[in-house]
Amino acid sequence: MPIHLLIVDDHPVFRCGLRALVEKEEDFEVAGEANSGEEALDLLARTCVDVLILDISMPGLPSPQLVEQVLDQHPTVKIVVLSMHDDEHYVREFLGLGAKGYVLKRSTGTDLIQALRAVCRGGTYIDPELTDAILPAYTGRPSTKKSSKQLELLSERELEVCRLLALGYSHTKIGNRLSISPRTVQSHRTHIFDKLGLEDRADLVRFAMRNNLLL
Amino acid sequence: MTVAERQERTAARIVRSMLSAPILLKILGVGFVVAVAFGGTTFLLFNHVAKRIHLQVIEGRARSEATGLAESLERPLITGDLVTINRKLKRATGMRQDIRYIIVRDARGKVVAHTFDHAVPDDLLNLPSAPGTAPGSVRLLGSEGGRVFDVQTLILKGKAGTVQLGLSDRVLVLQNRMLKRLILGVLALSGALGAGTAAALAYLITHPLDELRNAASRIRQGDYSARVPVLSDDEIGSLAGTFNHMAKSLEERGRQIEQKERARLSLLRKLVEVQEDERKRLARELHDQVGQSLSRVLLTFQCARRDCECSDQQCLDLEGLLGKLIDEIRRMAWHVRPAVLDDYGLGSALERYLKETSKRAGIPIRFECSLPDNSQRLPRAVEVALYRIAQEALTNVVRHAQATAANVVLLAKKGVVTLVVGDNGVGFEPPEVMGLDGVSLGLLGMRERAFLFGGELEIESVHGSGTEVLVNIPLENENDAHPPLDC
Repeated sequence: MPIHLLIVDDHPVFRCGLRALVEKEEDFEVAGEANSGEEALDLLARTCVDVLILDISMPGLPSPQLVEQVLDQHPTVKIVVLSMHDDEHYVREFLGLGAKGYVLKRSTGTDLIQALRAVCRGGTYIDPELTDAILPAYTGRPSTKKSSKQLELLSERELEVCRLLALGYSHTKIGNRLSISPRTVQSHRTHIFDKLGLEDRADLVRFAMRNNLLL
Repeated sequence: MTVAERQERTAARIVRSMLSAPILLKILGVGFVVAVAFGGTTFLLFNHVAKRIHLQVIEGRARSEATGLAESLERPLITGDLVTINRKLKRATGMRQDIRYIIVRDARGKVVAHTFDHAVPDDLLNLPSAPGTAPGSVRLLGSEGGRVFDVQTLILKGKAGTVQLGLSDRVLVLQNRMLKRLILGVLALSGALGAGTAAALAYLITHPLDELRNAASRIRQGDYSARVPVLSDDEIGSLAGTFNHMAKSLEERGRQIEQKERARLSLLRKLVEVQEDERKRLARELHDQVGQSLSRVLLTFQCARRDCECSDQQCLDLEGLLGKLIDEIRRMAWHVRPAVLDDYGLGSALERYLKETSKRAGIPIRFECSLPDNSQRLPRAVEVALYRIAQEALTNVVRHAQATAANVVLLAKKGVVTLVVGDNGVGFEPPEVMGLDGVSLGLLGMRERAFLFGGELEIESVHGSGTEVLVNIPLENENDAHPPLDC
């Protein structure tokens, strides 16, 4: 029983090359080619498809919607995204929508074949080039949860300066607002950073948001 | 410091403080000094003259009263008619209230008659009979009832006796006092009138000046519609006229500048729009056309190689090269305009950009991002502007700052989106670089991009302790004010 593939890509020549590549494999059979999302949905309704190979930068129906509709109408169809985009956001979005594989177009044909096989076995396949970018986001950052005590280290005035600094005010503006000189603001800032053990404004913003100073 | 120097300084200070007094005070002061000097002198002169006239008049009267009395007493005295003498004395004192007393002596000096009720007071009797003074001279005596002018006149050259008469100047003194009061009153009245006139004059001068000053300060604050009323044809009026002319031409020029600024802004907006459109198109073409075509070439090549079962090194190299080429194209497209920016928003695009920059520059870049969810994206044009500003700022950090760390904050709070790009590098003096010389164009561009969306960009840099670029762009009505550049 061969695996039926549907190639969805708006570049006919690329489709052609792809067909040539997959048909080399004995257990793959191209059930059809679609030029657009609409055409793909039409074809799916008429033919039996196991895996859908999808280019996500096509004109017409936006790809995320296409994925949703396909999985809605044909829950058994597995989707492998074949894309030029190597950004983790695309990977996350399409896997989140229910696609089972994400392969870069620049990868070798064997990568795609591997992906197709993995997906058919019920697994998920992410292009090896992308796993590095994807993983840190899932491991997360260790959070430091001693901030409520740190808040008490600050004086009333320092708390206000801290809040304004986190909101992106310049020293001059904070000075004007609190009727003190920018130099004084600078020294408040140094004290705040020393007391809280902060390194830069990004730290400060993180601190301020954790302590709900920006409400 | 010598005494002279100190005095000189004090004098200078006094002159300065006098000069810095308000005009009203100056005019009033001058009026006051003149009134006091004039009135005082008048009064003193009057006093002096009045005193002399007073004396002359009173002495003349004393003498003439005494002489008249002496003549009328000649006969009764010779005949020793005491009754007539007493009657004449009584009549004289009765008619003239200011005759205080009359003493009549005979040739031997014995008092024959007098007007006192009881006896002649001793001090008058013992009065030396004018030693060294001719008969008829006037002496001034003090008494309980005021000054008394005493005169002795010989009757028939002394052969019949003498008459001594005391004349009080009380009436004259009273008249004199009344006159003085009158003069003082007139002086005070004219002084008050003078002060009033001076104040009115001062107001006439200072009021238009005040108006001019107020109008000038309104113009200084940018309100070019300020005008002053031209109340007179004098110097002040002509100053007001000139001022109004100036304000009018300033207003005109302000309008022109405003028009030019508006034109410049819309041109700038158009330029940015066109540039971004162009970049978007270019990126898409690189990505979708060139990249896709190369992918296809790679794919075809792979198929062909497998067909020929060729594992020649050159073929493998070529395959690798094609892969690199595709990577390069993708990178180029990313740099021209990242598709993530359009598809996933500023936060995602910046995150990726920072990651790459950090890797390329070899310094850690920390990123703190707090934006609304993806469903509530910022206006696209604002996203693009902030992305470009961040790009420029980070390019500067990498190129000039010699920093060992950088941090970026992206925050949307209270209707304002804030971007901060900070580093711990060498810092610089913003004013030097913010000029119009070539070096500053990048900074100028960042500022203009923020300005286009009603935002502002500040640079805080301290020599030796890093730089922070702060951008604030308001979000309210952003879509109404400026249509998005793309989409």
